Amino acid sequence: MQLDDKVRQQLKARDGAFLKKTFEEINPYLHRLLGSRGYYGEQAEDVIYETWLTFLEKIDQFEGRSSIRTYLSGILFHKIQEQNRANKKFLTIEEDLDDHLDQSFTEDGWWKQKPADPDVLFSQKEAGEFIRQCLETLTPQQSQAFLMKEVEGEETEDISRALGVTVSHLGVLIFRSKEKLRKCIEGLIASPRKTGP
Amino acid sequence: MKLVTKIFARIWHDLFYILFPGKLSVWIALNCKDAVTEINTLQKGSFRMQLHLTLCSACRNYFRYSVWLKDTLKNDTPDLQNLNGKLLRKISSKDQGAL
Repeated sequence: MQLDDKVRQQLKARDGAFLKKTFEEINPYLHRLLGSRGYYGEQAEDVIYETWLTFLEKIDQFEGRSSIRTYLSGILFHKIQEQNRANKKFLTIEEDLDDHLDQSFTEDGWWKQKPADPDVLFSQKEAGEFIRQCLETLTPQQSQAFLMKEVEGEETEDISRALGVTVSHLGVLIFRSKEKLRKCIEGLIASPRKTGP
Repeated sequence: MKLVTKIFARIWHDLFYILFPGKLSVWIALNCKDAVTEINTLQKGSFRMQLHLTLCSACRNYFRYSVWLKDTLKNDTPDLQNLNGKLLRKISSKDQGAL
């Protein structure tokens, strides 16, 4: 979706009221993206702060082909990668997903192993905390694809462009993300919990 | 009531695949792989996907799980007032230089 000219002008003019509203809308989303990479609290806020400064410094380069949110997420993940390279932290290897979707279904396209009833998940009070923990088990590409599509409802084409993948590969990324999350959450539910004294 | 619903769903499923066997049923209502692909890539499912979900309890489970993940995460809203204020002060500051 093309960016509205009025929005672009408000950004360039650093319109205070407009920026306040934009920060309130977009920063929780960026915070969630960072949470999936193990960045919380002050550390996450620092990255978001720097992301916005970079965006506003280079606002003229923003053509508006994707939403502001999608564009910012690209800058944000670039900054995380820079930090990780500097800290030699979170070295991840992207999985080869080409055959993964096919492996879960028969040749005729029916489930090899049917998904169980998710009711057991719904009753968990710590559901939010479990999902946050399990997001860290995803690769950067998987977590970005999952959060942008499933949670934020970004357009498929925008996400594909931001991640540099085809639409079909995006589908596989999201499928794999949900599988990993489910296995992780079920593991946390099943694991014995420590009780207080 | 839940048992009645399950029995009805099973009858509906079996009747559908008796009336529309093999590739014809897939053409009308998708197979599981295509339905899951639609769930994961489209904002709003097609009629064929919705029909498949009424027929297939496995894909319904998958869809319900997807919705639960999305809703749980969406309700997780951090307090970022300090950060937002800091950004506004930086941007509106006259001493900010390049910005």
